[in-house]
Amino acid sequence: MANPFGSLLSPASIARARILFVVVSVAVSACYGPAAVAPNSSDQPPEASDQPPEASDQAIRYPADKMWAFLASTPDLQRGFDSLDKAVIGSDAVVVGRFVGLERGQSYSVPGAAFSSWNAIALIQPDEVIGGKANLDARGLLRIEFVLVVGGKEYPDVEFANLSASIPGGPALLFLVTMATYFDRAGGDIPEGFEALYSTDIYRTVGGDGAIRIENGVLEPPSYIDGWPLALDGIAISDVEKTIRAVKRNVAP
Amino acid sequence: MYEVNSPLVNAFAWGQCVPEGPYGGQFGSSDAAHTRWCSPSIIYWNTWSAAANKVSTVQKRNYIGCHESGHTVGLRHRTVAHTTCMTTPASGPSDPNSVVPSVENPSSDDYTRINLHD
Repeated sequence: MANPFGSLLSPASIARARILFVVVSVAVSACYGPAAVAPNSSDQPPEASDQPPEASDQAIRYPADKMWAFLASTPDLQRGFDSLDKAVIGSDAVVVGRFVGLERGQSYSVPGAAFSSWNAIALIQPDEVIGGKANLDARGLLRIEFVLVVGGKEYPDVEFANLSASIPGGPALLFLVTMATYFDRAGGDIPEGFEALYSTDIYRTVGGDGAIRIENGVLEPPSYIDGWPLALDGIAISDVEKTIRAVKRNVAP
Repeated sequence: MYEVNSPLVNAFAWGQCVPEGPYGGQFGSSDAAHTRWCSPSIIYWNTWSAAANKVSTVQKRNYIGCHESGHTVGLRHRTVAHTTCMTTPASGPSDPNSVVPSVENPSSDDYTRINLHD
């Protein structure tokens, strides 16, 4: 690949970039060894634990917006839909819920892959299902599975502890699709090793627009988003619920 | 830059702190604006078919490489479409209609931002 930064960089920037890439390469090699050597962790789920490891003194505490954002597993947090109506219609469940816990997920990878996806599961207590149908587990909780880290040889305990210590207390308006819907809409390709995730009981948020916090009864869109969620800023959740129910009624067969 | 078949990550490529490094593998989705930066970091190129099939030209591949390399030197996303590779696709690869941009280079403004750190 051509160097996209080419000759317009100053000599100091070029030198710094070279040092950066050397540092990245050395660090990655130290962590993984040759890329072709697989950690082969896909068949070794992490040991279950009731208690998350304690976060260190340098633990990261994520603000509430970012904790909800994690659930999209979408690094650039693009919106899943370009209007509230489309989000309501396109979601399998629209829920007001609270983040009440975090569970370790398994790791997934295609056979022989050098890198695994290490997952976590957000446990959501639904206050109200406004639209669609929410498939709950035996405890009455929604399970949203998301990617915690890709790569590494062991379960990312530090990151899990950081997130466990950052669980937000307030509710959010959630637009959810099941993993089955996610894969179907994407064209249906489920790579070998990921089949277990094709489920109507496991959810993910639809994108950067999949979780909008509710503060004192009004919606507070996240700072990172643009588009239709911004129009809900400061609107009472009770009013938005009426709109969502009306949209659902209008599309009902 | 490494290839990984990762269907759960709804992205064509992404950067992440090295999992066993000092920042514990922080995942990029915690901040869409990329206001956070870490070193060492790693770039993953998603080979999931829903992503890879949409990166169908040399120009689109160069866009991905330029975009992610830009993050490693501290560039954030830009909303100025068609002029910089730091723009983003409107939607992720799970959207059948998502389109990968074909802007292969940073803008002169991006270079200026990088050189501000001299």
